[in-house]
Amino acid sequence: MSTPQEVMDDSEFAVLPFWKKLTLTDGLWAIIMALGTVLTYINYSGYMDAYEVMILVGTLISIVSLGWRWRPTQILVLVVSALSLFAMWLYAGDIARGEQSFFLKFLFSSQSAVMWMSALFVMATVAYFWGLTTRSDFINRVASGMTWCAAAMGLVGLMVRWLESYLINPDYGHIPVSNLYEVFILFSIVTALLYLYYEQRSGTKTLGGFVLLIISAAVGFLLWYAFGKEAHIIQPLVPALQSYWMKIHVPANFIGYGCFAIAAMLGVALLLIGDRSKRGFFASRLPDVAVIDDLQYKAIALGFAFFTLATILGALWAAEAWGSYWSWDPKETWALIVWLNYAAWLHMRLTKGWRGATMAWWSVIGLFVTIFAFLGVNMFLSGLHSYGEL
Amino acid sequence: MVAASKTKRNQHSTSRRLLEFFGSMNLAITLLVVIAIASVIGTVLQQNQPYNDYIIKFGPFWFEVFDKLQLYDVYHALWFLVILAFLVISTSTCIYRNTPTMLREMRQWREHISRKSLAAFHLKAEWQIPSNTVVPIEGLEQALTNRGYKVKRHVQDTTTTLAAKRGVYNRIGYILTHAAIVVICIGGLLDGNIPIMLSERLGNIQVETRDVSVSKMDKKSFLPVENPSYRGNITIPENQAASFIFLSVRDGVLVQHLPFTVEVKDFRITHYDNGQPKSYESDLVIYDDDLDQPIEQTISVNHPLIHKGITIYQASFGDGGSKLKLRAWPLGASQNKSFTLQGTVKRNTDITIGDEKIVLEIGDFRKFNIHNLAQEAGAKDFKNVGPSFQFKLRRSDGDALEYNNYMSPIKVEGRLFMLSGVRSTPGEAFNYIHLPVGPDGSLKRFLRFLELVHSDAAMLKVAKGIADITLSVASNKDPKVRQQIIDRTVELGRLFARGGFAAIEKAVDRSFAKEKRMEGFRAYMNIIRVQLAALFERTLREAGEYKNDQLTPRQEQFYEDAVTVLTALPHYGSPIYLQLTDFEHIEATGLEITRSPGKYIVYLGCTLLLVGVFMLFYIHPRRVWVMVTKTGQGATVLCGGSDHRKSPDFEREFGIIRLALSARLKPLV
Repeated sequence: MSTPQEVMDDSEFAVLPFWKKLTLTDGLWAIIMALGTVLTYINYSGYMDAYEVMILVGTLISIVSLGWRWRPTQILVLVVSALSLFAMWLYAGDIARGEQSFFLKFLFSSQSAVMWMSALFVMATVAYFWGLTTRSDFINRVASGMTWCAAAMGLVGLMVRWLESYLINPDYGHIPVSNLYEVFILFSIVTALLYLYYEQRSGTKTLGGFVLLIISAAVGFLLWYAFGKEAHIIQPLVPALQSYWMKIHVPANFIGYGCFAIAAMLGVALLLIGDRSKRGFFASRLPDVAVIDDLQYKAIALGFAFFTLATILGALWAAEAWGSYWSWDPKETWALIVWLNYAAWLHMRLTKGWRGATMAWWSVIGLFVTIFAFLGVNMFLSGLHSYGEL
Repeated sequence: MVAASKTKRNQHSTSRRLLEFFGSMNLAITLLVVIAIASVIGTVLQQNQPYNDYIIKFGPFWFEVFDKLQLYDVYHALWFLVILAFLVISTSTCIYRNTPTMLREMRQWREHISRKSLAAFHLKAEWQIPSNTVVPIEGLEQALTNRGYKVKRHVQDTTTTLAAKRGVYNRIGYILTHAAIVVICIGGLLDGNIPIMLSERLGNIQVETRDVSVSKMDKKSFLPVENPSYRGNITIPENQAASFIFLSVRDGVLVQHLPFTVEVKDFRITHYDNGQPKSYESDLVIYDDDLDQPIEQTISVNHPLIHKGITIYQASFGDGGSKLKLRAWPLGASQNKSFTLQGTVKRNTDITIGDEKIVLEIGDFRKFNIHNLAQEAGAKDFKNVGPSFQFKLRRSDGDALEYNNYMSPIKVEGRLFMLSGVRSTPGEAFNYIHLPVGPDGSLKRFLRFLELVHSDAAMLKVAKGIADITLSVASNKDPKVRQQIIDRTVELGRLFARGGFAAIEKAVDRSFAKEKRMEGFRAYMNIIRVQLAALFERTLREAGEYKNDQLTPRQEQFYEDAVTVLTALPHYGSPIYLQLTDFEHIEATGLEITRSPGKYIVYLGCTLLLVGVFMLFYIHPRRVWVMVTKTGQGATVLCGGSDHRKSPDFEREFGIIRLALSARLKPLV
């Protein structure tokens, strides 16, 4: 007895293993990435030690998996690579060309690219709030587009800065995540990309303004730091930072910081919604509280995971540079405090099922603790980890 | 009998209560928060500083209080370790209590779920199937399998239950993360200072708090080679060796013997082209009887040497007893001429100035000084301004001021000066005097001028001149008045030379009524200016540099700079200026040497933590049940789903499952 139902095709409801979801473009893109990695290795292996080669391969794996999981980043990576290579070609090995070439001077020298990033982030913030006020989906999409462009320009800025450090003096060459100025750029980009990911996953663009607000604040600091303190000038690395660990420890940390920043800003949104029955300005425009609440949890969970990774990497590095994996240095201690804080937050949410205003306030306060660990320690406390002084 | 069983029950309930207490989430969260707050103390209050600094900062009373609370080394304080121990116990209890349940739950299908409880689910769906059709159980099972669920079919009477689960390994994540905390704490404990703390309490070892050399230390201050874990420092001058390190404990030290000898062949600092340090490197040789050949290796920051599980790090550098050639220039009253002397860094040298014996204690020598010479604030222009040395001059009364002198002239506002800084306590910044350098590149012109200012004979000569000029315009030519003017002028000059403006102000306060003091001060200063100008003129004339009876703009500037120094000299507190003329640089490298067997346990814990955290967050545990019940009118299909996180993702997922099941059931309905 055969029933038609048993042979029916309901594959549209099936969960496929990830490789079955890959398209031809995905494959092609991965091949381009692999080729790029091989070319990088051929050209620059002289500058790399064994660990750095491993990091290069790890980067390839991470980028490919990211691109497969979240396709828009494929375009981002291609655009950033193309523009960076274009800038490299324009420089032709001479740092002075940064002032002579039109494209470098106004678009792709690291400083110009960072300025474009800054301008785009601020414009995107305004646009997101405009879109929120007018409930215009079109304006929200424009804002989203600008955020993508800003992230792209920021990445180009960092890539070109990396190149410029070698052009100024091969001795100076280093990945631009070594001081406060550089990591603020990194923070802005990482936070924006994480937000864009959640924006796509959640299907709502109305929260963009909140997240972009904190990026704009970072941009404000960046501009003051560059124009007021000339922090954008490329300096060589102090001996303690000359290590491959910097390439993984710092980015991992900023994924954590970026997530915590997003969670805090979502917390602000939750608090602004307040009592939904009153249908206030925000309550009538922002998505369901449960959706924001869930996003907040996801951001903190991801942030916590990467912050854990970053702190462990930091401990491994400390064991190599300072002679102890844990020496209760103020930076280490504050990292622990941040970690304990979010561990407590997650326990409350996962085991006690806490939701709502308390958790929102907590994540906002959590950001202040994080900011102190990130900036305050460098400003007010002395220790081994004093690489970004104001 | 009754009583016994009661006691037993009591014991039982006590241990259960203890288990309750230690396993409670509230305790765990409280501990997390308490540790966080306790940790803050140690970052606000700088740890492990010299005890004298704390006394100066807090005063004797609070110093005692903080010392009793062990706040100067919070993270090794007993109370802090006790809190950590509580965390370990609390976490262990959590693991002990929950692991069996979790492992059971992972294996369980919960296929015996009742219809009633399924119907109470927040997420559910129901279909009525007519009596003439067969419910495609396989199809429904397939639909669930397609969504990635593992399914168990259970048939009881008229009811078939499909119990499906996904992401059960999430529970492993829970176990790993919590086990990791315990593992990390145990590893850290192994590397901690508890054994030392215990031996000290038992009186087996004694911390050396005196400032004595190793040979004079008590036997009880030495730790054996076998000590499993330590972290200490040693400073070794070039071409010297050591086989022990110092562990700093509170306000004293312990000496740890090493199973080998470390010799330092060379220490180097390399620089970038902008003068910033690029690397600190030490060429080391390790001598060990167990080795066929000594190990020769260069270490640098981020590149330590590991031998016998002991790691040697480049931690700092300093002076290893450089030999300095110095010239002492008398500042003022002393009749002595300049003289040369030799000094060694970190050693004392006696100097005799007049009748006074002064001890020169050279603290440090620096070959390079990279300074920001940019004119505008915020701008950067790093240059090496050459060597400097730091020293104390201990006067016969025991008081000492500390100085920092540069070897070469330094350009400030376009003019060259010899810089000498002075301070009275180590915490302060140096206050620099700027000694103007003459056209020949030396201090000769300034020192000659200074000598004249302090010379009574020169002063008298000038005073006579001033008196004659004053009297030439006055009608009264009484020789008594002349002598008065001369005496007064000489006295003023002497006052200024010894005490600067402050001394003149005092003299004015003594001699004038309150409302006339401004006027009087101005009058006195005029006289002093004339004197100084005359003496400076004489200085230039002696050197044959005074042309056309007037100062060149440069000479005028020099004069201004020299007078500035004159007014500052009374605060300089030294009868001599020490000029560094030559040096033989001997460096020392600061090594940190550690043995931490707990490291690998900590790393294992870290790995568990990382794997656990990702499993915990990225494997979503969820369950779905489909219950098919035959009834008189056919069958009902009831589906319910749960995930204990109540995430919107699962709501979406359940929606898809409902659609998938509907697609299989729809043709029947």
